Amino acid sequence: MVKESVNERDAREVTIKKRRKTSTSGASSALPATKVVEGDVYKNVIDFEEAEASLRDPDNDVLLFKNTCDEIRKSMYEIAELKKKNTEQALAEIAEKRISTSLLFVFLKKLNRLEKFRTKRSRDILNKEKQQVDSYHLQLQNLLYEILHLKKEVTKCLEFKSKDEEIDLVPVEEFFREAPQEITRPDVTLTDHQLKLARLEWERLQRKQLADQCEQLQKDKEKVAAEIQSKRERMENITPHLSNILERTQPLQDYLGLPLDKVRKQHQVAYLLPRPLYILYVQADAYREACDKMMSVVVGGDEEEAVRLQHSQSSRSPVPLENDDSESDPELEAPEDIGDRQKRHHRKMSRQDRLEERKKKLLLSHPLHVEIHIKLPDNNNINILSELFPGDDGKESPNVANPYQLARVGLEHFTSYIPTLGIPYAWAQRLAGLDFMASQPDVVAITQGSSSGEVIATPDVSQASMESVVKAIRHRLKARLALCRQLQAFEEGDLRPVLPALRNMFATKCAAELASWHIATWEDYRVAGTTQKLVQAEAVSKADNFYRAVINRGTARLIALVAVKPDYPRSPAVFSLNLHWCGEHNSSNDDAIRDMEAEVNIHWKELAKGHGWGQGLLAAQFRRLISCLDIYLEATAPNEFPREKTFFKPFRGRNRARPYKYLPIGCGIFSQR
Amino acid sequence: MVDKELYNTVLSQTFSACGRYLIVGNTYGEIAVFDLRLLLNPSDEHPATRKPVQKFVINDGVQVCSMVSTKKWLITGTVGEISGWDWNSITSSPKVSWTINIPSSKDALEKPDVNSLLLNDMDGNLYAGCGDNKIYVFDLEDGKLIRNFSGHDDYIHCIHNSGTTLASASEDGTVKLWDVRQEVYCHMIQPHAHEKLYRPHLGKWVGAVSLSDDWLLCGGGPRPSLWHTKSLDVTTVYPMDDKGIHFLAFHDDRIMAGGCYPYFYHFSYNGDVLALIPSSSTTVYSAVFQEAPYKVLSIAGSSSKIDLCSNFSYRDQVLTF
Repeated sequence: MVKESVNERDAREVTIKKRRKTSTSGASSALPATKVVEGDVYKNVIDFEEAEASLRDPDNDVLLFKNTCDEIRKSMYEIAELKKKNTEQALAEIAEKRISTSLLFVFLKKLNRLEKFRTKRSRDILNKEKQQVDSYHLQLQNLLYEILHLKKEVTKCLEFKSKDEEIDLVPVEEFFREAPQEITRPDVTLTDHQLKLARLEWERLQRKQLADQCEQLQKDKEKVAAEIQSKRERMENITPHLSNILERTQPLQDYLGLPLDKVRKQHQVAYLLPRPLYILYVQADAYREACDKMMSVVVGGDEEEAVRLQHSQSSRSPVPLENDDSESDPELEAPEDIGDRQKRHHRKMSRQDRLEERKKKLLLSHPLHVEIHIKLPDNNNINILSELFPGDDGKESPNVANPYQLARVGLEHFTSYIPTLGIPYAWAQRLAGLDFMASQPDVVAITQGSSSGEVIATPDVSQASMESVVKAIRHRLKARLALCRQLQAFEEGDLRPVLPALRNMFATKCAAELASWHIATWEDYRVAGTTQKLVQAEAVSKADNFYRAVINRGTARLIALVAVKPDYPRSPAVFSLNLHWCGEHNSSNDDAIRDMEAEVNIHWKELAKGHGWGQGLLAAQFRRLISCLDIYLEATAPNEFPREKTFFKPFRGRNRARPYKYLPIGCGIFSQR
Repeated sequence: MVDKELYNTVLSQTFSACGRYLIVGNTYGEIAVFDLRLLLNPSDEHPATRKPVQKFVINDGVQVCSMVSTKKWLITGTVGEISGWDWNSITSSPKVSWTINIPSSKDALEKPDVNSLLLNDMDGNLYAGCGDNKIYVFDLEDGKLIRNFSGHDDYIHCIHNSGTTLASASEDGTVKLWDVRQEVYCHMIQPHAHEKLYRPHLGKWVGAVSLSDDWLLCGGGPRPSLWHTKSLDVTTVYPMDDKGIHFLAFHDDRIMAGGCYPYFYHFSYNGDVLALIPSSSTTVYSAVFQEAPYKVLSIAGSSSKIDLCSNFSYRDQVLTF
């Protein structure tokens, strides 16, 4: 091999030289040169070398390279040795060696060139392979994407919901029972799918039939409506004639003194009243005609408003209960109770608006009211209707459902609306046929039965209470008038002559005198020091009327704060005393004054004797108080206040009680209780 | 309408013989029984109520002026009558075991009140200070009148004894000291005669008297004061701004005083204030106390409320009649 290469060395030498020339001539690559000279030796040599490079084993070349390097090294060494000798012979040898070594270098160059070729070729192969790998990778990604897409499609298909699932079909048994043979097809509908299809078909047929039926009914309805319309027109044509006739008869009516028109008008308005008030009106009017000519019953208020209200309410199904006194509007409407239109309407409104609407509805006051006038010679109107019957102060809504309804829409306690709405006395409810008395078992059953908690007005209830209520009002009015006469007299400093029945309950004359009598307020009363025990014991309340009386005898001055109850004379007036005489004496620092208070506040029943005692109870209590003051002063300080009353002992017992009790013996004797 | 409880007045109280019950009588003739065991040791199954466990009205509703308790009976003094009630029946259905009528003179219009009852430990007899100016002594065995003490010019407010000495306070403004073995009184003091005691605007009457071996307490219209029984002279005048004294008592080394005043006082002998208990009543008419089985002081008067002090010095419960 070495020889072979040595043989070719000459030729190669030439090529190398030639290449150098060409390379120096400026062309960057060998290719143009080869092109220029077709079949040029240079190109041939290159081709040959390329072929050679691919044929030769690179490992052998490496060995060859190493050997050549060793040879060069050896010859260098030898040359160095020879140079040391520095002989003629040595010089010749050196020249020879130089030539052989140079040849060896040429050989090295050849090897190098071959290596270059090989490197280039392997690089080309690598690039090609890389491209191949890239294309495969791309393909793989395409495929993966396709798989993903297909999977998605599959899940989409799996999740598909058919419309028919929402349709409510008739049960299978009913379907087979009712549908004709050509639809059921028992031979085909063995699978679930076929069965479903058949049932859907049946549903479709049925719906079609129903739609036809609906259309038919609609037509019928329109026909009837047209008929009604035509009839109404005819009726309306009659109206002018009728009113004409009425107008013509007016003079006749006037002449005969029959208030027919007025009555009719009242009755018409009465129809607009809500049911409880209507019952009240009817019953009161009947009672007036039958028994009590001194009473009159009139419907008052805004008629048009009432008509509007009635219209707006007739569009809703339940008839709400309104009462001008009670304002108990117990519509506990569950949402389904409200008509369809109302529902849609409500949906549009905001939540806030709805709440407002409900609040308004709950506190609605009917525009109409019934006035009942009961005539007596005089009239006076302070608090007169309160506690007409025991415990009926009108502070609570009579309907037990009301507090819950108010709380549900976030309103305050019912009491705070009384000034704007009116006072819901229980007797007024009964008069209007509303029985809220939960103590009666049958009523409880009714209220529990109706889901809305409504109490329906019934005439029976009204009938039962009409007479008693009117009588109670009459009595109250009488009592109040009597009280007013007494108060008027007091203001003039006049102690009324006592009723004959009570005449022997009092000493004939009193030394102490009523100096003044004024109206006082609850605030005055409440802050006064002497009244604390009474206020704490709730013996007096804000609803009472308060007065301040001053009684004088000599240097003594008794100030009495008097609370007159709304249901006076059933509950008597309550006195609170403060005596100014040698310091202040009252129930919290002097037992004798405490006893005096007890005498009028507790032992008043002794004064409630004989017919018509209620007429003068306050005056009687007052007389008793004044005689007690006389006793107190005469017993305590006989030197200052000469003894005019008859009593045995000024003091008695460990509590040194004064003889406040009057015994009608002889000229009247006072003794200890 | 005013509840009559608002004007309730308690004139007398006593403890039952066993010490478990407090008996209270008022001017409406009602007697209320309070269970001290429940009040002072409330338990889960018996929660303490401030209400009486029993309440009953004695015949005719005449006021209960005085009460005293013996081993067998609760003895009540009303108007013209002294009655004995069996202890066993008190909490279930109270019934009268016996009644003594106070002998009254024919020309008297009213029956005398039994203002003060006293059980004398020395002879076991019942002493009654009455509205007809006399003190009667009854034998509790047969109810017979043994004797009476007369000498006062007005009705008796209060009587108290120490050994054979009996003291009586009267509306006539005197305190008389009697030896029960003698017919007439041996000594008499007139508090209103002393300038530093007399309060003219309140009057002369003596509402309360209490005796110990050497000392005597009295007060009423005149200021409450301590007297030495041998020398019959005022030793201490107690500084109270009241409008009349109705209760005075010795207890150990202190003196209790109550009357028409918002506070109930504890004094030392020489006049220092030891305790000041606020009172629910306008006037204190009655106070009772015991050490065992329940240590308690009960103060009552012209109110429907009764103040209970388990430690004698401060009020810890208020009962309602």
